[in-house]
Amino acid sequence: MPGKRNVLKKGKGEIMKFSNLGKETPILDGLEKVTGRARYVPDLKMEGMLYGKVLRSPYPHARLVNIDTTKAARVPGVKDIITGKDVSQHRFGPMVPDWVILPDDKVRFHGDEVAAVAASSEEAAAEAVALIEVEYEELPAVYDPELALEEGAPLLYEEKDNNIAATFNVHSGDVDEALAGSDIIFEETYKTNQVYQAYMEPMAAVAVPGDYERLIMWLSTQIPSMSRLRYAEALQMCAEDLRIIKPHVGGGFGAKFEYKSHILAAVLTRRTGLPVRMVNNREEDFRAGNPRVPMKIWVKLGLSRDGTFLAKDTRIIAGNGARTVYAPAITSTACYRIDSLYKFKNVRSTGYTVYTNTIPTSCFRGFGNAQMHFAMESALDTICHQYDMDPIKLRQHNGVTPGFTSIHGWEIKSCALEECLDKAAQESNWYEKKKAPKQKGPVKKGIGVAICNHVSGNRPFFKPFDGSSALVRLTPEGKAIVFTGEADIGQGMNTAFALIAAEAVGLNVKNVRTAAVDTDISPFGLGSFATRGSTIGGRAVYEAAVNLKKQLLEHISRVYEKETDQITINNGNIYFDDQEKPVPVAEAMQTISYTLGGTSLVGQGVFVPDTVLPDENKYGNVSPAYPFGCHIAEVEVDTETGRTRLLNYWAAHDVGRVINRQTLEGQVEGGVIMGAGWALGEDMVINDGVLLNPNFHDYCLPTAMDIPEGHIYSYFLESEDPNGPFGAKGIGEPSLNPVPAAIANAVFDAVGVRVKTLPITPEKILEGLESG
Amino acid sequence: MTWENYFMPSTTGEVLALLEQHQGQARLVAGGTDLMVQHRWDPLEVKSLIDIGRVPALKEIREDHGRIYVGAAVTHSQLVDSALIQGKGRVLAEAARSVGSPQVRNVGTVGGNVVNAQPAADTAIALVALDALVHVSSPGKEREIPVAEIFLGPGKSSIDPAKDLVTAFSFSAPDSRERTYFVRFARREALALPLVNLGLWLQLEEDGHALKDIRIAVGPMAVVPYRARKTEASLKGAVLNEEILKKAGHSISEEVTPRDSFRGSAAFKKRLIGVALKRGIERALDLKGVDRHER
Ligand SMILES: Cc1cc2nc3c(=O)[nH]c(=O)nc-3n(C[C@H](O)[C@H](O)[C@H](O)COP(=O)(O)OP(=O)(O)OC[C@H]3O[C@@H](n4cnc5c(N)ncnc54)[C@H](O)[C@@H]3O)c2cc1C
Repeated sequence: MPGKRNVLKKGKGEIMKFSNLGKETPILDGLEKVTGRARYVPDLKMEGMLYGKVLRSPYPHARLVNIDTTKAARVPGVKDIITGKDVSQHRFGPMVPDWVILPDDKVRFHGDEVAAVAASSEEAAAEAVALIEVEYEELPAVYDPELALEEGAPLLYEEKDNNIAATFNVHSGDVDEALAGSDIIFEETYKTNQVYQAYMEPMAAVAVPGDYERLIMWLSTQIPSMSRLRYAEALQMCAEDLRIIKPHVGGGFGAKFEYKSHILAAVLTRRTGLPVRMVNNREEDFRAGNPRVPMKIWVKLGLSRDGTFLAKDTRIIAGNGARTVYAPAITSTACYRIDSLYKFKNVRSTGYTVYTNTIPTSCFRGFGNAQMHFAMESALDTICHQYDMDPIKLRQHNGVTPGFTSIHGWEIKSCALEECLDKAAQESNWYEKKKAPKQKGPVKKGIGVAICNHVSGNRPFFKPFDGSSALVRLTPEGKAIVFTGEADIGQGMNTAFALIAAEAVGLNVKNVRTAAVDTDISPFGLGSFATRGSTIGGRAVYEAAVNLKKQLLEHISRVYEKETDQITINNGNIYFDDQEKPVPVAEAMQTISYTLGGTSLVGQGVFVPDTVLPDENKYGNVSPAYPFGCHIAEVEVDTETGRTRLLNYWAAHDVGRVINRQTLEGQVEGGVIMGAGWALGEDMVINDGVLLNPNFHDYCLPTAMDIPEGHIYSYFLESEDPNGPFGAKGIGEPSLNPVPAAIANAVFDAVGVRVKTLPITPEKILEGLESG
Repeated sequence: MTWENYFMPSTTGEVLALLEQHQGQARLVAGGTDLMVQHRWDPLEVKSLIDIGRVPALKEIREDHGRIYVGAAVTHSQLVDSALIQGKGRVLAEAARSVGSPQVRNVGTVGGNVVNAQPAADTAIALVALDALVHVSSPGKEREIPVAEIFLGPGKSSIDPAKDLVTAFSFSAPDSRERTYFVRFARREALALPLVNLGLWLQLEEDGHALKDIRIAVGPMAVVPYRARKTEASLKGAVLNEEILKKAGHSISEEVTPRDSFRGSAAFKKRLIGVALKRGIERALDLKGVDRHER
């Protein structure tokens, strides 16, 4: 029978064959998105809904002397105005309790929340905000994390002795001894800048009064369940009384975690008894979003003459901004995650996350690992150049391999890093291009390589646990609905979950969908971060689907009087070994359901990864699966104008297993483009604490014209991870991690200029060319 | 943003009548791509808008007695697609092609670009290089002004869009010894204002070697679109070679006075304008192959 056997377990010599996986499946909600029918939080309108607006500080650091809302309150349509005097002053926060709902003492960055208004129209809200009279007393401010560390620097939190929000330390092996015994010692400093995630949908919330005195919040968020816990804390209510719904989300890239104006919308709703919508305009989103943590990174490496890595010593000063979102975790990631990309024997790292009077910083695709990749992979390129080593071979010589346990106890189960390097080198013609003579004329070509690792889930991120659970419900119509708490924010995870469930049960993905996250219905899910969704969330969905299939087989066996081992389910059909004609699942389900009081079948699945919280020296396996990749960039640099253009890009990734080729390619191309934007021009220009380019005109994201269409090539290596669903590992962040370094290395190859501070601007290249 | 009146006249006569009738209380709007953005930050004081985008006479491109006429409401896309402009006003077609994005080019007009008077407005730079005339109609009066003379300062021109209607621009059709070219460097390939732009018109001697005459218009190198007259003078009569081009590059870098801003330092822009001039002349005369670094 064609297509009958659906082999799931890979035995000796047996090839995995899938009816749903590995294909180009357009995202299941794609049509409603491209036709504009998909509803996002800013599209929501409720009966009696008010429009919320925040008054933001025009000073980077100032004492709030007096706030007068009399005039503002007179604006027709204004229903409520809140300031620090109207709200509880208890402190809370995602990592450090340095948040209050609204401050009553001082503001700490240009854009900090001072007051909030709810009015019956956006215009009225804006007018009222403009009429709030605030008396500020300006305070000395500090913007550079390094200066903020100096003795006598202005303090952001006066009750603290200094501006350090967090310190991270790790030392494994003996770095000093290893450096003493190294033939090659390399030392350099790199800087990564502050960049904006530039998701299409700005930060948004709609808060609605619910029955039973509950509060419903529609959020554009990547962490519905976690933000529920935090907001309950902020609002001093029981988490169960807070219902979070996450509809379609227009991107997040790390920014959409806990957010102040979500809480302000909730406060205004509770006070007015009316729904309140709070949506950032683009300028606010720039001024008070959660941009990337800027870092200054000192790197010292010790190698033996044959290129073996002996020691790595790093020190990082990272900008936290004016309050703590997730920068400390990001700094620690920068300090030590890359240690498990290579077979290091001695590593030491110190990271300071430092308060400054600037926009609070947080997660951005790569989570600190991207910053450190720029430093490390640039450093290796310089070492190769200085000591005449091949950048591909050096990485293959030191890179981790399957079965390796890293210096921090990370268990590398699946790993196709070596193959990724070979694949990218081969496809890009690396060895020939490296040997080729340089072009005559002002425009030179160059090629550069960088590799990466990442995690698929990060145990220490949420202290209580990592893992996921899911439900798959098969309806009497034979359709399946996946319920997960993991948040698809546009990456295509919901489609991946549907594909996994379809494959595991034997359905056609057309008949499977993933429900929007609603904390009243969906299981608790940690959310979208640490490249964990498809791996950890997907594995829970897989387990739920397997559980569902077991139940389904038992019911089929009962109804059709066959042994379960005579039954095969594939692509929505049930095949019996002794019968030519299959029975559609829909038909069987109707019989099953109608003989059992109309029941649906519900499979429940849980995945608890075998990971641990690292010990005091950061030892312990943090992730169930580690993805790897190798990127090669080819650029041309105009030596007269300093301009760099991307010509070709080869990205080979170890993804464990291809679930959906189309979204995988989308993630790789998106990561490469985002990384190229960061590398070649994106920059939040801050002068005396004020962001000078809070718009898409002056904040130069790459346009379609800047990307070589059809010249980003992605390759997927399937290392079949034992923990991932069907072997799959994550892709979201690794697709970006190596990009800035690959491009910087290509620029160096083209014109011999080493840019150590992102972004790689024409000015820096011209300066480098001039200084020889 | 609300207005009391939004007029859509279909002849220039109607436009002028409306201007007269409203006595400075009505403002012309063409594509609105400058006006609407400005209105958001600095609300317009007028209560009425007069949309000139539906006046056929203002949307014409034609040749007449050795002059090319471009209607003020001609869009950038129209310029890009016009065979006449491609053939006889290459610098203008290329300038229009570099404006914003397809959406902006489809609605933004050459008239709006010039009247808005930004120091690096792309088609304004091209028109200055072409030594174009601006044809202005006001109630009861008609004027023709050399385009370079209408710019008063950043965003300021002598055209008052509550009183004056620019109807067209015109320039003489080039003969076989004239060439034009447009060079532009920006932070990205689309939707970016230029770091520098340069419009070039030149005329060769009959021998086909020496430069008889040249006009170089550049932005944003001064408070208004700028004619680099010193550099022009130094090039007149010159027989072009690498050495001369290099010198001309230095000369123009010395001559211009761009501003420092976070978008680009003055020193950087000075350097780029030198490269732009050198490349512009090379390309205009086909001395070197076209480089994909510029548009
Ligand atoms: C996203 C974006 C990108 C852009 N990129 C570029 C770019 O790359 N290069 C560039 O040069 N510009 C650029 N611009 C600016 C703008 O698009 C151009 O200047 C455009 O040509 C303006 O034409 P308009 O028809 O839209 O003018 P409008 O906004 O309609 O009018 C501009 C001004 O001219 C007046 N006016 C219009 N027509 C007449 C007339 N016939 N007579 C008298 N007064 C008149 C109006 O009253 C107003 O004061 C960009 C704008 C945007 C929004």
